[in-house]
Amino acid sequence: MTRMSKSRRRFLQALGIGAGGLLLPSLARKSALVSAGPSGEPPIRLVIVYTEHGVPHVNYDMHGGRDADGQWEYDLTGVAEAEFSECLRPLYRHRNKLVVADGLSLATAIADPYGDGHAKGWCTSLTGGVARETFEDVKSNASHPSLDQIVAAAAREQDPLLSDMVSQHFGCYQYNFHASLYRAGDNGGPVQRVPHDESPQAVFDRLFPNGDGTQPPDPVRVARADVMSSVGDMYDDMAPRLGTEDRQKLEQHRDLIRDMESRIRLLDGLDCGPPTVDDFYWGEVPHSQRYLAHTRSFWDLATVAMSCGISRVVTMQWGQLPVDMIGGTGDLHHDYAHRSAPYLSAEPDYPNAVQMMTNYTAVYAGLVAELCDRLDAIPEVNGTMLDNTIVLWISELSDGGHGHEPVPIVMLGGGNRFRTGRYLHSARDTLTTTTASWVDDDTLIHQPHSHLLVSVAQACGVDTDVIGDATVSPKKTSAPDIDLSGPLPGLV
Amino acid sequence: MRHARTSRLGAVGVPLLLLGGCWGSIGDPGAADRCGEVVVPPAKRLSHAEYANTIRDLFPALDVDLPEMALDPTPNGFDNDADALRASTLLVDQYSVAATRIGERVRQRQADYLPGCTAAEGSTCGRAYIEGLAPRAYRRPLTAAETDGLVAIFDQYLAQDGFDVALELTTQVILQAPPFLYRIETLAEDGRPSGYDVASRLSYLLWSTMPDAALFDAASAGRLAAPGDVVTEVDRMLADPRALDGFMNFARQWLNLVRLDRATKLAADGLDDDLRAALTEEAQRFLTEIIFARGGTLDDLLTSNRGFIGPETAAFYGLDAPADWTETELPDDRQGFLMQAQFLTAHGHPNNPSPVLRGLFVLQRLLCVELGSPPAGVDMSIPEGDPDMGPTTNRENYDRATEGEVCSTCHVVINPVGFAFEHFDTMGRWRDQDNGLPIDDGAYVSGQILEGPGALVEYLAASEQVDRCVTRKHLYYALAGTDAVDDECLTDDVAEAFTASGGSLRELMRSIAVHPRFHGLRAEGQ
Repeated sequence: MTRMSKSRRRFLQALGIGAGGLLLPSLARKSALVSAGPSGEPPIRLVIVYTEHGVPHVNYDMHGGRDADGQWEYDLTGVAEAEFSECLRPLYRHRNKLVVADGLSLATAIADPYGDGHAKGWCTSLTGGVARETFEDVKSNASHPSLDQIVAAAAREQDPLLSDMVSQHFGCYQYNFHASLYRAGDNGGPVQRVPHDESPQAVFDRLFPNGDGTQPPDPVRVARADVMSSVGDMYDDMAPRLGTEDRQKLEQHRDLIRDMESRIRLLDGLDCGPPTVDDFYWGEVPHSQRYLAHTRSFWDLATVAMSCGISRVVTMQWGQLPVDMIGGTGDLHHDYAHRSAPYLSAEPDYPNAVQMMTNYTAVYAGLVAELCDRLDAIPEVNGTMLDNTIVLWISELSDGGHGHEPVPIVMLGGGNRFRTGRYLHSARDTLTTTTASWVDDDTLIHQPHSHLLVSVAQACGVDTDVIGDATVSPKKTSAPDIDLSGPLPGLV
Repeated sequence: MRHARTSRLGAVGVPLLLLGGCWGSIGDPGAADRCGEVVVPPAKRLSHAEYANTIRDLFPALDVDLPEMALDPTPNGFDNDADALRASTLLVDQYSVAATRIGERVRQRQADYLPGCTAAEGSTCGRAYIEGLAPRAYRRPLTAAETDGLVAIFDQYLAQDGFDVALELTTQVILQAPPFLYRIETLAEDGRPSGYDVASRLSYLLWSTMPDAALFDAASAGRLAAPGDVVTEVDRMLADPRALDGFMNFARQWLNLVRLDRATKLAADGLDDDLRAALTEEAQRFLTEIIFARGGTLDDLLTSNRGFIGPETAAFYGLDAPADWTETELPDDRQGFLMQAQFLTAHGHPNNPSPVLRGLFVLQRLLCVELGSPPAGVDMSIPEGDPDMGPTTNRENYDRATEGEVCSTCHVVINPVGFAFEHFDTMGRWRDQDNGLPIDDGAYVSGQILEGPGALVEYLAASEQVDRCVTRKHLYYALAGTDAVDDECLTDDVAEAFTASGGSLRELMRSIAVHPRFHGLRAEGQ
């Protein structure tokens, strides 16, 4: 057992788990934390994986000559590996548990013709709501809570034993503005960005407050919950003496402290095997080894947290993929993502830009497949953990051209809720929602992705028919509002 | 040399309404009406910079590694907005981690932090520690109940686990308590803030940290109860080296120094960690040593030909590399912050310098011109030459890319400001030609045609609109985004004092700090 805690590059050897081995966390518990379903089956978990810049559709789509505007589906399970698109090929080994949900639009982003396309996509893709322009003069906040928040809140409502770690938010290179997720504020407060953790070591320390079990109990660590209790009492004492807004602010803080206290008490009663964490070099400049090390550590931590019943929801935001990981040089965003926009197809550098963005998408597909490997290796009573986990991979844009349709959406797992092993294409049959003067009223866009958000929420046990806005107006004023409620047909 | 101040209103100008002085409100019975009533400011969580500085001063020489904190929102570019600074799951956890690490270090070095007592004295020493630390941490005297509560916590762990654990855990509790993490003010029955609250207002504005012993003493002795008391303290504080922290915490955000961390360049330009750090150091040395330490003005910031060069940055200016950081007169083509490598590199794309980013900076951060976001669906690729058109300049490429009706509405305002810097490439190096063609660096702002960057910065240095904009920026920062930001009377007063001082950035801080609307005190009888 080696612990080099003073080094920035730290390796915490797991208890009883060989280095480099596939993680198989202990399922033994001192206390039952997981609430099983009515018939004893494991709960449904949700992992949202978020990447930037959309995809190069010429190397992503798997239409097989079918109508790009039509409604259709086909079975992926019998498709040969060579027939998988270059972008999606790394997911081939999980094809039986895969749903490619193609042909959907971010209709709520299209509805607003102004503002940066990235930011509008970030705001609406998980909330189903039109973005609000508040911070820093850009569309930087969503007007509704996001899917992960909704699912997490419902899970806690159903299972009071779940702590504030019911949802976890991870990120690689998200220190800057890019690719943040957004949500409405808690307790009626102002909208906020969702904080996310970029240090696997910090997540490890939260999940395993007593360390890796190699040290004797430290009385200071043992007292952590009691300390939080004392601090919470101080907020209780002070809050009633304040005005309404200040009281809300402190009560929000108090509630989070109480959450933390209860989480520590719950985690003290768990007996889950800690994974190996590679915190690697902590710097701000993209670095491919660190990118991979952090991603894999986060996958291990997510797997443990969900299998031990600590967490139900995990989000992973990826930003700034180091450009050497796709064989390029320079600036990925501007040199490749932008230059891969379909409207630049006549430009001499377009083919190379498309290839680079193909590599880019394939790198992420490979990493998503690695997460699925971990989940699929853990047996549960009705299949594997992957069958009870919905992995939703989504982006803020359709492609490097900053459009919002068709938005690339891939779902893996969740086979106990969805029919998997399919390529599902939705039709372009919805009137455009833009208000832009330069777009014709009768222009059609793909079906709104809001329905897919509803499907996922319902599969996770949320009793709702709407995620975000219930309707959105088409540009054509004589036409009725577009209904965004209800699940996506054909998914279940 | 101070430039003559002019107020020029043009196509993009925000109308200036110089309403005349309601300054000198002390003793003026109408002052309260004109400059707003004194209200209790909202509870404000310490910003991360304030938190770190406060820990530094609460436990001198502690030498502790604080955890990374979850990034806070920065509405209007500043990280101390009272409404935006909310708690989150992650932040509450990080405060706990920080408190744990600090508590551990205090326990290890307790001889340095216990007030002349030892562990052997048990509860007595614990109480003395609490009575010394907690009022400084809370920035006010504790009530008897608050002290007793902390002592009870200490005594409980003392009995259970011994002195060291009690010391560590009580420190943790204090550092997560609401009066430490939040600045929570209350008005006395006469409507005045307490001397302790005034002390914190001054210290967090001028020093970005907690009050020092002298401020606490003044508050305790009732010497922070009248406007004149504030003037005395403000002058003392501005003469203290910590005033540099207060200035730089504002300037770093106002001038968006962190943008360089996000800038990407082609590999050939070599913008690695070391070069980023060197460029940041260059800007910080200019701001701290040439501008603030010498009582510099906004004019100096915009037009000074002095600068610092280091081994890695000298080449940007065509100068020989010194062995270490050296102050020097920069070449004739460099004047002020906007023509230094840090700004120019931070505001450039990999393949070209960006007149849009550079123009937006001038418009939004120096002229306070608000512009909307670009519409969706427009081509936002970085402009490049069209091979079919033969060689073109960057200026021509940007003009062509933004000439459409949808884009030109804003870019007709933005681009002509940024074009002034076309002689500087994306790394801020001077270039005589662009793509083998002559460079046109003519600019247009607020109805003025300006020839080159020198004329632009001279224009900005002479503009009252810039004075007022910088005043607004500093007021927003000083008032943490509270409603008083919209107080035109306050803005008028401070801008007038700022201009009258010749644009002294130190005087700008002073005029905010001594204004009744900021410190909340009134002269006797008001």
